[in-house]
Amino acid sequence: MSLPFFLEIGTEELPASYLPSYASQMKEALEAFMTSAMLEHKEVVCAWTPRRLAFYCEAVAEKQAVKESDVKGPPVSVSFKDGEPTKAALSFATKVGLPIESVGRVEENGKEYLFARVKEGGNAASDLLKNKIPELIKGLRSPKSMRWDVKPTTFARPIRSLCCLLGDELIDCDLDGLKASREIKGHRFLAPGPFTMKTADFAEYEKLLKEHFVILSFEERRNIIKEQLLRFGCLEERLDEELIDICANLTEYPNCVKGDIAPEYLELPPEVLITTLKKHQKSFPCYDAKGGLEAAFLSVTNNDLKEKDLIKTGYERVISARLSDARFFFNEDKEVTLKERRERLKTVVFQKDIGTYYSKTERVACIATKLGEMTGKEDAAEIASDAALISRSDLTTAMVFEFPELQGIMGRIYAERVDKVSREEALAIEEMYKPRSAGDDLPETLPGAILSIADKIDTIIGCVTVGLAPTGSADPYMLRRQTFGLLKTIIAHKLSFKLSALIKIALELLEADSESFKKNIVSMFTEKMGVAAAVQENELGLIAESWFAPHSDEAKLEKQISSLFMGRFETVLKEEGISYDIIQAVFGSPWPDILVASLKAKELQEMKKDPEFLTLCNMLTRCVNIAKDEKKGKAAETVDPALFTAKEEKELWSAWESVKPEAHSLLENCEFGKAVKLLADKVAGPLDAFFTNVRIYADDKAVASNRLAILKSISETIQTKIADLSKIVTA
Amino acid sequence: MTKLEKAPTLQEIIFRLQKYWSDYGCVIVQPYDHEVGAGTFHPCTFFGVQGPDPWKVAYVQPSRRPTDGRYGDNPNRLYQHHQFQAIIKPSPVNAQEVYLKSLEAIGIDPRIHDLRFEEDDWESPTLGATGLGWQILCDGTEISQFTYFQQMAGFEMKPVTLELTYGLERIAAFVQGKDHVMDIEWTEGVTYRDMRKMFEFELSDYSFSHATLDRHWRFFTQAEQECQETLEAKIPYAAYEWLMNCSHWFNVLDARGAISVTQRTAFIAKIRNMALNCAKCYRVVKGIDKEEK
Repeated sequence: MSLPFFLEIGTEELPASYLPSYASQMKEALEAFMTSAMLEHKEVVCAWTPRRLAFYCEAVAEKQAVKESDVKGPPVSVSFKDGEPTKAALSFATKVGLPIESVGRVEENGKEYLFARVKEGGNAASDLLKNKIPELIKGLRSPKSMRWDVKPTTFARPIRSLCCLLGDELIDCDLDGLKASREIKGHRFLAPGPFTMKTADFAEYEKLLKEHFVILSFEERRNIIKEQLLRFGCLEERLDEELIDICANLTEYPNCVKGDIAPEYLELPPEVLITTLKKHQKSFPCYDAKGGLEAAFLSVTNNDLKEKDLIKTGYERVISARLSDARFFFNEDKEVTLKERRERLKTVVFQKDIGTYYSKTERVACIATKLGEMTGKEDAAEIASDAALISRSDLTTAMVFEFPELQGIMGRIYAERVDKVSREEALAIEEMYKPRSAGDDLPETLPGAILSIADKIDTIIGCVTVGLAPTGSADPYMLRRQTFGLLKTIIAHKLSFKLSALIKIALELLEADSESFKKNIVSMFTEKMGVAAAVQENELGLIAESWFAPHSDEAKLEKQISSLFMGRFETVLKEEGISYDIIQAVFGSPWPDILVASLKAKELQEMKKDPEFLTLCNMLTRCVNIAKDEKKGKAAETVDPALFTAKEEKELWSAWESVKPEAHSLLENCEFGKAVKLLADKVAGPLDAFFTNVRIYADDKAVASNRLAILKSISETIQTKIADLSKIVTA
Repeated sequence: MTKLEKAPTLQEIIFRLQKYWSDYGCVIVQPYDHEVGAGTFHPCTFFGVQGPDPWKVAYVQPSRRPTDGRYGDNPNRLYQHHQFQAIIKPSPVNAQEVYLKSLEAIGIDPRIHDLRFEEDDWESPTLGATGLGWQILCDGTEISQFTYFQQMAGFEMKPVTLELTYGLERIAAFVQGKDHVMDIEWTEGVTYRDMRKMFEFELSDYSFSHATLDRHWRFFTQAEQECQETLEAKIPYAAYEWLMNCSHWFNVLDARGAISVTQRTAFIAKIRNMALNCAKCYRVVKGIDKEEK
């Protein structure tokens, strides 16, 4: 026989973000327990609102399955002494739960042992659940948990009720003194109840909750919110799904109220208006049919809106106060240009061992200029370099202090409106931060791309230098993400340059700065000391000292930088559909230029489809391997045609000699496909004939080293200018 | 609030809250006569939450936040605002219901408003205190903090104390429908402006422009020494007053922008250290803990 099972954990309002995790943890814990306790069961389903976690299983066996097993005990010879059972015999009897007289015997290999047939299981599901449920609840984990009243229990917020039913039966479990009952609470204000659950019927539970103004299903609450938002003026394509999720987890009976915003607030930059609504009030902006902001907002309430106007007025008042604050910040901020604000960055620390944002902007401007020279994009780099100097000034604005996520965006807005710089320069400031997250866009403009690369390389190299290279789990400055973004930007904007040169520039600038930073900080403290006579000198000394972590040694540094770049470059290539063997082949020869390496990878990936290419690969790999193996003979410095004896070697050399200049020039121009095609057309045949008909290691050592020299010449081109073809899987 | 009833004045709100919590069984105590940054600093909370004995008090506490000073111009930021605090140890099973009833007492009917308990983890690094609970929003406006103290001055709370903090100006503005704090009706015919505007202006002006930095640094250092030496005499209430001074002078220096990031951490650590020592001393004198040998 099986019965339906129902459990509700009634709580005070749980943090919205904990709900899905709590529900799925408990669902899994219940299923795992039922399985391990030999209780046959169907799937456990879960649901939640801010004030309850609910679980239901359509059918759980009323009793455990029964398992019989044979248990062998100690030999009879040691079980009795003078007719009395020994310790060993008695402990066996206890273990199998039988009086010693009832323990049986079994013969095995001519020896007699104590024996019993043991039955396990058969316990009632209600007893097992009663004991286990409190333990399972206590096993649930959340980012933060608390104690309450005089109880030892810990949970995200106080648990105030438990309802646990198996069929009609109340499972009277006890959670540190909180006894299970049949009572369920409705909406806190609209229909508090409580009502009673007669039997474990989930459909009935959901229906009764609805009558008490509680919508149990997260999905349903979500859909109600979404439907109302769209009906009242949100645009489908601009719906903030994440915020909808949050609102659905903050309400039991969601209803949207639409309020008005004084039209003058539409003069604020849209980003400011939207962020104020979302971050401060979890409210949604409204749009007109053309996609422009409307002077209205939508807030998700937990109310039936019988007194709609009252609630609307309240929300309007608080949102108006928030927007008034935002406007105040905006107007205040506009009094000072970003250029003037830059001075204030001298006291804003970027990272304690690296220095201030002021010095960072100087370095970044310099890197941008150099990057322009390296790539021949001087014009764009000039814009980027100018933008770099004012790029961090928005950190000192009230708006960014209030909304850190507007960093860069406010920079762009103030640069354009207050400093009156060109549109391109202003845009570069915002684009510097891109991509902000995994799926975010890359910088679109060239100055933006150059600035973004310059800023990121400074952050990456700076952080690694002071010992903040990412470790397995820790990457506080998100260097992996920054490196990834940097590489993608280089490729997207087709910027060809030597990465190591850029790294070197960044390193040199950081090193030069680190000295002056130390001096600055010390003088900053000394100034303060003049003002603050009361603060003792030695304390200031300590602070200035601890500012400097010893730099990592250079070998380690280089390894950390190259492994960071290699790791991320591998991810970038994988994302572009490059297979593992090609990536290894590309990494097998020097890859000083990211753009070139990525183009190469793409072409090799394309060529791999061609069977002829794979044959060529094998042949060229053989050529490389022989040239590499110096045990059997060393190649001569140069090829001497006078030493040729076989026609095949003569032909191979002349074929290679004739295509070499063209092949090199193709490779210089990143025409890998064409270069390989050339080799396939002109060199593959002679090479094949050479391998088939010529004994390379001729008895005459001079002839042999001359032959090896031919192979070495070809091999060098392949190894240094193409890739390690031996890594390509040809089978 | 039902539409017919006139909205209570600020002083009426205080009367009603005092009556409500007095009826609930709280001792109504008076504001502490020292500068504090929040009602939690009141010794009735700071010391009262320590130890196992039941404890129920309620009081109004004027609280100073020099950095929030706006010369009385800003509609909702003040140099000094007023908090009403109810402290209940242990926290009762029906904590939320008890709180909600108090709102009805001051004219807020939760059935017709959008009343929300939204996650808010409270922390006071200077007091070495943490708590979990909610900010209470009424139609989007934050009107209270609801906190289950987990730790105070580094000591685990056993049992847990409930702290309810009402932002009196916010609540008055909300029930009276005022957009600007200065327009709140203090009592009939008297506005908040009449009572507080000049004070707000002068204290903001003082904090931002006149407070002398070198003296305040000195005040701080001297008060810290005084606190330590007073603790040696095992009179924690007296020592604790110097901590309150330190905390306030730190806030004044902060408003002048005189404290750098590293210094801030160091100063907070100093104040927390004083707090831990005061609480430790109090627990020994009170007989909650045995003295460490």
